[in-house]
Amino acid sequence: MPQFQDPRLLVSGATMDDAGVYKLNEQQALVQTVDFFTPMVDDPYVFGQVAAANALSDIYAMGGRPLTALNIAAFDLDIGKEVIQRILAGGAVKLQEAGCLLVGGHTIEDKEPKYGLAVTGLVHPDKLITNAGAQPGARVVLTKPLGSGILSTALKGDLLDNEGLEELTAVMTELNDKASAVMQQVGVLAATDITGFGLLGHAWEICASSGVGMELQYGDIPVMDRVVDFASMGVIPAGAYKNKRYLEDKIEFSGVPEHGQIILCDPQTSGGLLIVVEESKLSELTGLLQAAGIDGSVIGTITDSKGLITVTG
Amino acid sequence: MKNTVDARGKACPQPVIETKKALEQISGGELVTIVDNEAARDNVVKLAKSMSLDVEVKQHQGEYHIHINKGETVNKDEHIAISTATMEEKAAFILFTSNVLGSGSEELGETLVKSFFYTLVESDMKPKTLMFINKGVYLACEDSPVLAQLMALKEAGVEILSCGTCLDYYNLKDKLCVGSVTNMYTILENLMGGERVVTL
Repeated sequence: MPQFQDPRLLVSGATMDDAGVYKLNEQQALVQTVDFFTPMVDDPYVFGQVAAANALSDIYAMGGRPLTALNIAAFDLDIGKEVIQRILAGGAVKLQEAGCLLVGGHTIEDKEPKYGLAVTGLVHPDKLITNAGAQPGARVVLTKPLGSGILSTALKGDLLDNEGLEELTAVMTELNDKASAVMQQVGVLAATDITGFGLLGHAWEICASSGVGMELQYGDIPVMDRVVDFASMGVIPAGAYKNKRYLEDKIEFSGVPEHGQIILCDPQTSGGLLIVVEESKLSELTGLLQAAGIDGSVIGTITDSKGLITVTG
Repeated sequence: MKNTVDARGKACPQPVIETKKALEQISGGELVTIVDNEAARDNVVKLAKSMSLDVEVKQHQGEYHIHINKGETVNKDEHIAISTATMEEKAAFILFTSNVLGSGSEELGETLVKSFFYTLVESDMKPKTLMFINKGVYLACEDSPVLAQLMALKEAGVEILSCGTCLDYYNLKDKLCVGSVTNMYTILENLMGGERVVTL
């Protein structure tokens, strides 16, 4: 594929980042992203909310503020007008929560329903947060518990009880806006959001882009209720195995149970932010996250073992 | 007798669900699950291990035959005898299939349902769980004539479950006022769990 190069193109698709960034002037850069997927929950209103929270998250992961959004949808008209309206209403309510304006969209007909958004945001070019800024000695913080892929798989198999579904829904519909605002306030080295490649896949992107390694403590990594049970009994999406296989030579596990290894590779929908912060700013970051109602778990440290992640039980 | 689950071409978690169901149905012996991808193979092996069962995988031209040994046949009669002896002599589960009690006059049915819940609140004999399906879910939603009684029962420790599919069908998901949403898997587990069930 031909490469695009321009002094104003600050971040392109080439660097495994969450969104593209285009410098408008010395004070402003555009942040652009698009994300859409098939339903992972039965409730159309919840699905709409999750899709919007997920699409907005890429803007937040870059430290940006979302401005406008466009709906992208594919529906089979047989699912009914009301279901379609509920999906779009779910998306719209999350955009309103984010202070982001819906300015249009496009729908096509397709058997398998799909919904998502293209979102445009703004960031100050000097305050842009990418994957490529992590330095050895810095600490690693995660803002949401893991397990949405495994719980969605359990839901598909009708194995998830109501409390489990409530927790899953709450985690997936939660915006990363507050966590993003806190990291901008404190000033951090690197960040990304946890989505399809799982915690370890996205952690490795930070390592590769920054030319560093990472050391994670398994016991400090937050996981939703019941995820361990389901992972132990083999209710695991195929994507988790794919991620694990891809990462095989990049990760060293020591004393981490088999179900734990797969949970760390579980593809997430609308996951939390993975933030790399200097040790001296760590307590300020976690304190402000807590004040904003977010559990920021300190899960590890950046090392100088380039491209290698170690996870200790 | 050989029990087989053919889960070829099925996406996760289907192979695990089908193997789990088949294992629950057989009292002992060997079950063979056939899958055609590694993720499904690993998941079914994990399931067997989590149930502490012996498992062996044989590869046949891109397919995996997973042999799971459930061991000796347990004496079913003995098992049931024990569970009956420890069971309390009252209904554990009440399944409501309608928002009125009995068939006949709607008006009478509604009077009876009110009377039923008023009495149940006062009674010492309380069920463990009330389950509402089909039009029964109306009783747990806004404008139900027995909402206060259901809330009192919930306070008293009675679990209240409404069928999610039914709430969706009647467009009541936002109107549910008491208890939680459940699915057919939980309902079935409750019905088949060996405790007494009364259907109204």
